[in-house]
Amino acid sequence: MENFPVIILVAIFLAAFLAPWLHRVLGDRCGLVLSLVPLAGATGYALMLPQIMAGGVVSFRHAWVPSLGIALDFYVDGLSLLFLLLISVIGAFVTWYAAGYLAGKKDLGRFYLFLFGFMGSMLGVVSADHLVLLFIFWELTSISSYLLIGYYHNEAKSRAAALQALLVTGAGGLCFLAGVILLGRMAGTFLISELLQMDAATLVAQPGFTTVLVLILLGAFTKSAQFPFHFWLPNAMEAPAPVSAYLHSATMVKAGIFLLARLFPLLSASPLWFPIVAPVGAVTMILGVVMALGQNDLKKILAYTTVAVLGTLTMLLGIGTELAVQAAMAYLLAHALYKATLFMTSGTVDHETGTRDPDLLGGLRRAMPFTAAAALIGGLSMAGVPMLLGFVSKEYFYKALLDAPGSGVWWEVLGVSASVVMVALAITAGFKPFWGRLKPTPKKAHEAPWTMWLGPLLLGVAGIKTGLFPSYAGAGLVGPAAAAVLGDAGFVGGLKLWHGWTTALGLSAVTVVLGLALYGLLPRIRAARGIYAGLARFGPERGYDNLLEGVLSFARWQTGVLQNGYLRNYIMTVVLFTVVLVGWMLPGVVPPPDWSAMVRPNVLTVTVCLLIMAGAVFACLTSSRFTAILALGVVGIGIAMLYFMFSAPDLAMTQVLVETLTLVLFVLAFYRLPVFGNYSKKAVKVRDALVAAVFGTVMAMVVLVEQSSRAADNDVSRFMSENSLTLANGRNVVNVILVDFRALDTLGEITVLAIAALGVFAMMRLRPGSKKEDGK
Amino acid sequence: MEFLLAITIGVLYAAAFYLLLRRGVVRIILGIALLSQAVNLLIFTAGGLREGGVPFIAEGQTALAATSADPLPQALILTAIVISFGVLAFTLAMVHRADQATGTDDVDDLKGTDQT
Repeated sequence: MENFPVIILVAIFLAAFLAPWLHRVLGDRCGLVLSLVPLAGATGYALMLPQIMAGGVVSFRHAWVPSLGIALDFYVDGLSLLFLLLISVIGAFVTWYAAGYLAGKKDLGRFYLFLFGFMGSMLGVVSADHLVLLFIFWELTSISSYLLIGYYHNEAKSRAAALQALLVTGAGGLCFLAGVILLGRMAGTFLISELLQMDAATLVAQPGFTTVLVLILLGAFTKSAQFPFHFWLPNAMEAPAPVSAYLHSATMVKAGIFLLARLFPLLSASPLWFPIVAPVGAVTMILGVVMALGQNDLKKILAYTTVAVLGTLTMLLGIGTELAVQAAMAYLLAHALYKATLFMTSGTVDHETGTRDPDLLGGLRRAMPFTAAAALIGGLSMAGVPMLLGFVSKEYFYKALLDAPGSGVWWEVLGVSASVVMVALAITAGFKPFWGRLKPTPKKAHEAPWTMWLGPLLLGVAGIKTGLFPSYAGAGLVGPAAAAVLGDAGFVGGLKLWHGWTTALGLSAVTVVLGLALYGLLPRIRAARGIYAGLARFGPERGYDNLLEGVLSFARWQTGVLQNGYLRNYIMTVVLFTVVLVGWMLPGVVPPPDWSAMVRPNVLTVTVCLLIMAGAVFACLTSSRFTAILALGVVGIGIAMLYFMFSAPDLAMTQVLVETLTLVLFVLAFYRLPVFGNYSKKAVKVRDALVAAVFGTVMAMVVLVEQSSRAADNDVSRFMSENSLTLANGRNVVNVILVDFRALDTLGEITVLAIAALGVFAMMRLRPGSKKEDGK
Repeated sequence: MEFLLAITIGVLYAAAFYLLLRRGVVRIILGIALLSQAVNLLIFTAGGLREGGVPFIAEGQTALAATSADPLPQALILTAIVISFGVLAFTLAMVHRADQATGTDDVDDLKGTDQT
């Protein structure tokens, strides 16, 4: 059983890569075959239940990159198992659903590749034991989310939403990685299982822990769409319905929550945990429900309520009492069940009728009975009506808020307000489209294929079952998960349906009544939604837009400056950069001239040097081509003389030969070369001369540094010196190096010359554009 | 002497760089030629100056004398001299052809010739 998590993971990824091929062979039916993999996976995870319920864990270790200490370590406890089951079961249902929703699409195979890629990554996130491994899976979910949001890739809106989601979660991912590395170095281990065993108090007391906390929180908040990063999630609704149901409500957006829960024993020990996490969650919760109120699109409504629920979960974890943690786990399970259902049913409605505007929908229950049933159960659970898991989890939510440290009443007010809105919106999403009078829709409605309603219906039934008999879900899933979050194996959780006549029960009743009243007002709120568009100008999404636009215009500006198409400006940039960087370091390293160690100059050498300099300067100033070529010759011959005077006769000989040839070449080309044009302005010349002078000065200093720091002896030269005669029978060591020790280099050099000669020949003799290549 | 050579190399680099920044294409070629001279001289100087230390193994010896110049930089420079000659010849031919094809030697005019 230890290797179950790995086997299932590998199977899912394998299925991902087989999906395009399967689609080609089986067509739309491939989804049914593929769904067997996550179903088998879910069975495998279910087999672990007894062990986890008994307080055990399942772990698997395999060295992967031992040199970096990165291992394929997996670790499954109650928290992981809750997520693993949700991901695999809902994954299978979504696979069915997509088979109907995207039937006939020719890139369905690719869709399944991305979807299963995501599924595997998400399973990896929740079962990884190594923080770096977790990060890799974490980023993989971002990438597959990008690909899935952008599924309708020929629509600009989809692409923009996909990019936005990727950039926001990706930026958070980088913060998370930085936090992970700091945490790992601080604690001396990257293994979550070991981190959780450590004494949190000593770790928190370490300097820099606040940085770790903030970085990891940034990762979690971006992923789970917490304020002010929430805006990407509603935009991500450009994705097809199965993606929204799976990634952007049931699983991926809960990765941030998972991370908070996973590291809860460690991070919550920090005094900053409560003041940061709980308010951020509360703000997100309120913001989500307020935004959801004004939407006239079922998907957007569900998206904003998802934001609100993510805020609720964050707030509960921020409060962090035993009761709050257990409430968070119950709420998470309930939400995953009903929200996936509602996303799928509203997708079905859209698919079959052509609209998602709740004001245009009604009376579909006769045309779509099964979808209507599933939506009704989902809606009731979302509203928190008794007999459903949504009710149980809300009871615990209220209890946890009353029990919260500080002023529990205020938390309670926030929680109840959010829940009231949830009730009204639950009716809008789960009830309104199906009941009442039938309204005309763009397409004539009829029931969707079974693949599209069976999954939601089963999830709904699960919501009823767990709602009627919460003790099973409590003992099997929620309790062990809460125990794992709290890091307290002795914690015995459990869910009960009936708590007696408590305050929470009273609040629940009030919530439902107020929610019904609010539902009556909803059409008027939606009619006034212009206010939202006005408010959006001040929202954080504007910040994102400005930042993106700023980066792009900066890139345009600096590309325009640096890549301006003028080669000489590139040279100028490179040289100035070199001058600044080298010049920066030079003052400390240029040695004072050690005259005694230098070769004593004499009249001849000084004269030669002066001639070279004069020739170089003259070549710059003259306006006659002929003089310039002669000046070049003076420089070349002068350098040949230097070679000769300082013990390099071979160099001198070659240099003289080459100089002669160069001169001949120039003179031959002389009459064919263009005359010197005078193109530059005087100011430009002065500027160039100044930069050139600075560059020359820096290079002169580099020579001095280089010259003084030269190693007196080196192995390569000694080898050449000692073996030249004995191995190669040559006394001229330079020659031996060229034709013997490094003969292959010389062969390369000859090749270069031959190719240059061919090029010259081709350019001189061939005339592109004229048909007759007679070569004159 | 090294000090003087350093200045000489600096002047060569400055002159080469100044010429590379011109718009006239012949001056750019002169700049390339001067740049390779400067680099060769830099390697040579950095390799250490020796008077009367030709890297030949004397009769009756099996290795170079301790006072001999380092043969390694010399071998490198020898290759460099020859290669830069090849580059120069190629560039000259190319400029010649470009001049024939476009009738200008101003590099700022040498753009968009693909269309003509």
